[in-house]
Amino acid sequence: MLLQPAKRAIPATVRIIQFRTLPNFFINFRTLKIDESMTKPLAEEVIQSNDLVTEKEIGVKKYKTIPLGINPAYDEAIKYILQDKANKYQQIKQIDEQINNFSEERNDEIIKELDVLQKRKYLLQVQAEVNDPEVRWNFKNDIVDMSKPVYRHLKEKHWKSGPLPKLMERITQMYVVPDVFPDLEPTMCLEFKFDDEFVEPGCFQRPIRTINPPTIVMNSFHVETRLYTLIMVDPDMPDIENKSFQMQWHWLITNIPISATKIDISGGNEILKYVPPHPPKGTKYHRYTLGAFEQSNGKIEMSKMDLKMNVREFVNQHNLILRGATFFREVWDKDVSSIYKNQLGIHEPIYGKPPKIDHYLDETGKKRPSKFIETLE
Amino acid sequence: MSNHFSYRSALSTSIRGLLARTVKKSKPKSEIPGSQNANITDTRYQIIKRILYETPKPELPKMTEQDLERHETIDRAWKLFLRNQQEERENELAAKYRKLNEANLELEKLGPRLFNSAQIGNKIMMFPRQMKIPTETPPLNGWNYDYKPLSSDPTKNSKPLPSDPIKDSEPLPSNPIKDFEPLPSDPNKVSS
Repeated sequence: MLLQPAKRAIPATVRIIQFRTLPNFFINFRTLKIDESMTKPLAEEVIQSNDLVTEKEIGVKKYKTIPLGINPAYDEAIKYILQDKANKYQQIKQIDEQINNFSEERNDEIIKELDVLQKRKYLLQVQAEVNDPEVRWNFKNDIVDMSKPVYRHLKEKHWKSGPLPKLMERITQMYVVPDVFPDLEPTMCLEFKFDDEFVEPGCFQRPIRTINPPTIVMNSFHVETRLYTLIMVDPDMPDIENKSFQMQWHWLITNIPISATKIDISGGNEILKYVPPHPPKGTKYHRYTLGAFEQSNGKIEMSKMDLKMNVREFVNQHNLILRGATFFREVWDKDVSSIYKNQLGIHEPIYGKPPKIDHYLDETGKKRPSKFIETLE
Repeated sequence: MSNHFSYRSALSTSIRGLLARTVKKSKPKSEIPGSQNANITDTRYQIIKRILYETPKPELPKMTEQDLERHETIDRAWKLFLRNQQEERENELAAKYRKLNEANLELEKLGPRLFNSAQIGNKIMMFPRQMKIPTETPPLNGWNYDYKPLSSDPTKNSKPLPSDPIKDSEPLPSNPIKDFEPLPSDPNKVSS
């Protein structure tokens, strides 16, 4: 009798994940027993199970429509939704005709009216598709086409309800807002990845992990392409002369074209090359802040960066509008010493508190006789 | 009985008074609600604790992915239906208000007397002709199951008003208000 593997009811989706993410290079093919269940094609198994996934190609998910005729309420619901969709598209057509009827000139009044019509059209486009079960399934499974208004709306809504409040909470708790930026009202979801893993805002990172620049994802929600500037700044570098802290620039890229469909930072001018974070020993944790600014004055021509400039001065000089921000934290590690040695090539500073003066001891360290202790000021 | 006044206490009257005032009168611990030494035989605490900590959680229906999707679609369709109904009502109201506004503007052009009297309005309480007066018993003609309200399609020809038995000689207005529906028991009932 063949040794059969333990039979568990594993749904088809889990099996596929096992295939994709855990390639088991140590399968001993000599001892692998081929069970009868393994010879059945996957498609059959899927039809038997209640899953909505068709797996003609392993790993590619596609929406499987629910068959009609089983649940009469569902049939009616689908009928009504499709009818409403048709109505909405009719209304969109009417609005398009209205927009076309407008004259070519563009004075303030006409711009206002056009704006109102465009907003109404966007709303109708969203409303038409948002009840479609296929669209909802796609969004749930992260198959999003940002050129369609529905997905943009759903994504923005999801961002505003979940990740955004968390980001704002962390930014205000860590005082990123008054220290680095004067105010923050994000309209864009700025995310970053280290080693292909998304990092939650405010989390501590290991210095080795951050030697190479992170993969930045700028999720904006506007269709047209606008130019953005990306900065990375450390506001917690000690300033000994002023007994305070100073800002250190780590990264500066200008003129990045970004739209809802283009989310990476290619196409920009890297003015300041990425400097890996190097929190010195003796200081508390540092907040490495990333900021995405919209360039309101179009393209920025800049060859070099004045490293002594403050973030606020820089923003005012080029009329930038803060659209998205995030940050991570780091603390000194043994690897920071190697960063100083290899990447930066400067002497590693070690900070500490000034020594405490004990007034009861004299200069040599011996106990000062009491009759010679001066009154402490 | 012994004479109370013959008994003398060790403490004088003034000191006894002082003592009585300084001793704090406290409730016995078993009377303070919520305390751990509370009267254990009182079953109310047991009942409250049971209700708080031991009531079972309501069991949610176990749905597969497909079931959940069906449920959500049906829910969305129903909510969409209600929303559309609400929007229709709102649009009707808005249209009525617009027409009212336009009529007033037209009236203003006609002259001050009519316009001003229209703006002042009626201090006399008047009831719409078609309002149903609450009755003790249902109507003799019974319930009209085939009743249909007037269609809200503005392109259709305006329906004639139901004939008023009192003032039949008056000319009927050419454009009746949309919501002016015929009485349920009207012999000249209009079905759309």
